[in-house]
Amino acid sequence: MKVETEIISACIRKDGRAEYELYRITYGYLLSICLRYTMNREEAKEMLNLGFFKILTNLKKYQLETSFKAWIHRVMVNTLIDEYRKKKIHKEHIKYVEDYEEVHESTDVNNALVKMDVEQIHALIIKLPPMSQKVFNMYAIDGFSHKEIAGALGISEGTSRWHLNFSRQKLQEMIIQINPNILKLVAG
Amino acid sequence: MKNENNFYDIINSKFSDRELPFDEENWKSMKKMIDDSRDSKRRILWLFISLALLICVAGAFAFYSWNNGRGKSGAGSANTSVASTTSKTISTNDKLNTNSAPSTNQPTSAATKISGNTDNSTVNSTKSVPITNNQPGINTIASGQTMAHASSSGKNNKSSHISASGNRGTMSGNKPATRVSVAQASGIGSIAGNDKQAGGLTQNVQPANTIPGTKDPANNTVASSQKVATPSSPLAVKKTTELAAKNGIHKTDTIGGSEPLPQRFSNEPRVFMGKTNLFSVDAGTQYSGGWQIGSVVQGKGFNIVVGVGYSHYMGSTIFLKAGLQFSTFGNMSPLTYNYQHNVGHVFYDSVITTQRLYFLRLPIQVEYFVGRKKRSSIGIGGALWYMIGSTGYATTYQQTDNNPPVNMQRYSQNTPLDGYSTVNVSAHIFYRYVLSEKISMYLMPYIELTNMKDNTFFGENIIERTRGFEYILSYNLN
Repeated sequence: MKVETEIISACIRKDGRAEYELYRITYGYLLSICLRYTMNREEAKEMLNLGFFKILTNLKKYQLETSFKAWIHRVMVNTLIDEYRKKKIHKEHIKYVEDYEEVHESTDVNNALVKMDVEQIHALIIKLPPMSQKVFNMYAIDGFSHKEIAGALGISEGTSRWHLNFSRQKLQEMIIQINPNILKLVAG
Repeated sequence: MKNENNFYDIINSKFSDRELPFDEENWKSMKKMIDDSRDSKRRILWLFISLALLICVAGAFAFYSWNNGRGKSGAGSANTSVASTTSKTISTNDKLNTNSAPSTNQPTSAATKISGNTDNSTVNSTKSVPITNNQPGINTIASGQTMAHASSSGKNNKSSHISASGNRGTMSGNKPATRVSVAQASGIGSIAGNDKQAGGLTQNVQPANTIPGTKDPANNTVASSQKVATPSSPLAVKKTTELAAKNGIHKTDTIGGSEPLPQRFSNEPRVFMGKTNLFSVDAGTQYSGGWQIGSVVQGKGFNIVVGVGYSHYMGSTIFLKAGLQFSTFGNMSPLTYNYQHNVGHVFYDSVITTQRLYFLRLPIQVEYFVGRKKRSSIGIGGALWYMIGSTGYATTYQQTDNNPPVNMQRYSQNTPLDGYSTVNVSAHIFYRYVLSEKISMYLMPYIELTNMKDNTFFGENIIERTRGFEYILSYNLN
């Protein structure tokens, strides 16, 4: 994805053709982010438009010397989190006391993971419970810290860690389920 | 730990370059969203411009009305008694012929012309001038407005113009000042052709006058049984005042006795009208700025306020008001809190969403009327908010392992909520404008002094104090 400075400048001037061009260039990348935070493709497209609208209206704030991709990524994720929070702010009154023990050596799982394509991994992530899915996305893919996740989702850092751990364990379990050879390797 | 990090790194690398094919259809909805937003901005701009224009027009109109009233009453203050006498005279005369002047404020408008035999005198009245013909052969001119301006002219042909306007009490002319007397309480109230002039000259008014309604022009003389006096003459004013008093006319009586003098000449604020206790019904809207939770603003938006008020006039310009109000506090939808527990692989989730809170409020405030017109006041006060209930809904569902949620149910929940402060306190300042004797308008910026939510319950350290403003219309019941 390469966006010319001229396109950005034209978008700031509200040039319709430039807006279309920017949308076309960024569409695939933004949709991939949205798909990770939403339940289905339609919702993802809706969120994409919402995020792109924010990008357009805030283009003046973008500093040309920084990475445009990183900037739109941040705007998009913030939009998704905002929308999520508008719908739901989780407040756990029950402490998560259940610990998940490491059941398999992660090296084997990692090797299996490398062989999987992105769509397969995505299919596993969306099976996670909504909150855990969001924490996992934010931490593992979007690079947020637990402190940032806690602030954005309105949960404690400890809860964020719990969700991350839970997600990882679940994903590992699912990877093993679709790759039974790993179990054999571990057993052997 | 290393493997754990590798796990995340692998996933991150897989997703970092993931791109999906472009969908032209989605652009259409995007384009619509952009266009709608820009249209909406334009609409807001036009609305703002229209509002600004409306305010300008209303301001200009108010200024014009104020100036107009000021002009009328400015003369009235000096000549009130004259005016009163005039109206009294009219009412005591049985035979009235009305002659309407085209304008009330044009000193030179010629409503009535009277010419004398030797001096061509013209009497101009700027107000509706009732003409009394209570004696045969005599046309009486009674000015309906304060007789204020008289002038005479006609250097060579000895014609003189006597004009009456509501604004000035002057006389001018190249002849000795003609004293003009308006119809007096004595019932005579006429300007006669044999009028005495200040210089002792007699001014005959020519029969060929232009008084409408006159049947016999030959006898149309401006007759006055008294000296024609300028309204500025202390003697005349005194005399007419005495006459007015004799006839039981209050100095604030005016033409016809139905139109009170503007209240701005009174020291009391208009709204009181001599009352010390007032009861009112108040209603309006409240804009709450809400508070921030992370990136979400909660409680931001408009709410409703209705209630009753009791006001006590403390004297001079101080006003004390208390009341009882009902107010809503909405826009809480971003807040949901979640009770979640799991039994084995089954998650039981209850999501409670607050929609609106309801408060009873006890406001108390003191205000001080300002300005010459006493129609505006500024004040300060506070209010005690007591939460009486809330509306919301709860959603429950179960989720087993990674399967989609099942048994999802949603039901209303209208009970007082845990986690919210039952009692809150706010402070406000306000500006009040008295629109009429019955209706006042308040604009009231306010700030909460206490947290609306109980932080110990939510385990958060957030200041949930709203601030905003209220726009209230108050209707006096008595």
